[in-house]
Amino acid sequence: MFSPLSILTYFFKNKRKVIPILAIITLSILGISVTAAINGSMWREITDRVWFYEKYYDVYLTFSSESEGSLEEYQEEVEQVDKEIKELDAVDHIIVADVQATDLMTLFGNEGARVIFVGEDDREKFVNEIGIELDEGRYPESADEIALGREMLMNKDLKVGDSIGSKIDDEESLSGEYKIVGALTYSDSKKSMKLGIGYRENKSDDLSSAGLFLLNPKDGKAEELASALSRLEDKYGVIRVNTKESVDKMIDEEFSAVSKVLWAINVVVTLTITSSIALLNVIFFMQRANEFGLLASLGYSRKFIVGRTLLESLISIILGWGLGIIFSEVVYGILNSWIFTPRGIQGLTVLESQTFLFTIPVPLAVAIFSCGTVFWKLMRMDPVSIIEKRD
Amino acid sequence: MLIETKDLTLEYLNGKSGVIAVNKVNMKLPETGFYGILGPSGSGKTSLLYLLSGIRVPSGGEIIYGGQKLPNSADERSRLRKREMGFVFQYHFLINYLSSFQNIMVGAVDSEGEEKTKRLISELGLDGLEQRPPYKLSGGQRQRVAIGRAFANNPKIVFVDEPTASLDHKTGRKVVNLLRNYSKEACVVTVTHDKSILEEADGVFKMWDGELERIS
Repeated sequence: MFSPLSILTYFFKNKRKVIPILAIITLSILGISVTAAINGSMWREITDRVWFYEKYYDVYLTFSSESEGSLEEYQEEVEQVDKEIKELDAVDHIIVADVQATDLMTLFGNEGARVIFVGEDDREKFVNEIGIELDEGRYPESADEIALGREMLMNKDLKVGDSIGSKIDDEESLSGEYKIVGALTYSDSKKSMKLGIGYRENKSDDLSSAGLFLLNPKDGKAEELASALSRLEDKYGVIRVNTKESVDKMIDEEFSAVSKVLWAINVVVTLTITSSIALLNVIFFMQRANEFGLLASLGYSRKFIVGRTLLESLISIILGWGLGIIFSEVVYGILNSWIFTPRGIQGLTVLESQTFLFTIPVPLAVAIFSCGTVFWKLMRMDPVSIIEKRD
Repeated sequence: MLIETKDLTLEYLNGKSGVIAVNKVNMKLPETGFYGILGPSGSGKTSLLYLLSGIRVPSGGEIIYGGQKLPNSADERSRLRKREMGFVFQYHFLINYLSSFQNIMVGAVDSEGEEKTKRLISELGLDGLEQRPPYKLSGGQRQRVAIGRAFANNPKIVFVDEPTASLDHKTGRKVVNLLRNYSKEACVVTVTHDKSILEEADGVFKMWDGELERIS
């Protein structure tokens, strides 16, 4: 049997008081983590998509290679840039590629995912560097074949053997018609594969004939290459450069506004929940004033009474928070299996550092407010007025 | 002597005027026996109990307990009260979410508390009611649980405030007989305005306007 004044006895004998507090905290954790979990899903989608910037920086012409007039106009400048890029000391290798995009449905609307067309000689180097593996089928062997990321196929409800392209679907942004011959994954299974690989027939390695130069920096020379490319971008107006730093900066700018909104929501929700739980705690405290007055009169020290009461509050808050994390993860698991995973979208989870951090202000603020109120009341308690039944 | 007071005084402010609840009280109580303090409402008898038990701090005079001055520190007084004193309050103040057994256990201090509680349950005629919460007990049963709690720590002295106030005559007699029995092991000090319960007391004091006088 538990001691009559143990915390467990209180919890077992006061289920009607403890369960509502646990339920409020549990639901509030779910409520507050939803926005952060959606944000986290979006973040992972984007970071997975730009993962290859860890390995390759890309350079492309600011005008289309198909509009000959423009190209002729800048021919000399383009040839000079081409030459200078190829002479960069910090480059390990260059992959000459064409690029197209196909639309994918995401949480924040339709977003384009890249399909990179590389020559057969470059492909092995490219997939090994980025960590791409074949999950099914094979790599494309002709210009009318394509391999897409597993999650891309799920998102577009396609499978290996199907065809894709604007010729068979007006709304498809991938021009032409391609037979899907393979499904790709990342060797890091946590990453969602939103990249496609096509077959590049053109053997020319001139920037003017390619859509994209993919530049792999030498070990330890990533920063040097980024600076050199930035200088070339400033010097010649005909190229645009994407490096790890520039892409990260762009993502940070996009997400900082979302992050501020999320924190504002977090603060409002936390304050609302905190004040309601603190109020409930004060009501429960008032209902137990006789108990505290009695214990003090029987000789239980104020330290014991305060410690026991604060521990009760803290345990219920931590328990509620833990249950909230578990409950949220279960709810997200159900949502993921129903909605997100079948569409190849990064699922919701509370066990991601940013989302997890978002849940901490709830128990923290509730603990400070509740324990603060109870502590203040107990320290000012006059046992004599309680046992004499005075106000 | 177990407890002795010298010019014990309690004065407090009631609004802007001062009230002397206990006025220079001198009394001595031995280790065992059943002692009563008679007096009308507001005469200061409950205040005297709070002073003797250390719940309240006197504004003048002193209390000698077990040959030593009652400690000044609130924590030390609390420890002494928990270890060596018992208190039966006028309003029973049982903890509603605990069973009768657990309510008695609240008064216990050592590992023998459970055994002692079992014995008290039997002695107090509460067999079969151990698991009942206070709100499912009659007034007399609640009073007996409160008495059990006061004796659970094998106290040297027990203070009882109006033990029969909310009980019928028959139940009141039973409660007084219980206290009388326990007074063979400890000093039981009861305050009441009901003279009849002190017929077999070892000593009776009368309190009037804060002043105490031994009348038997």
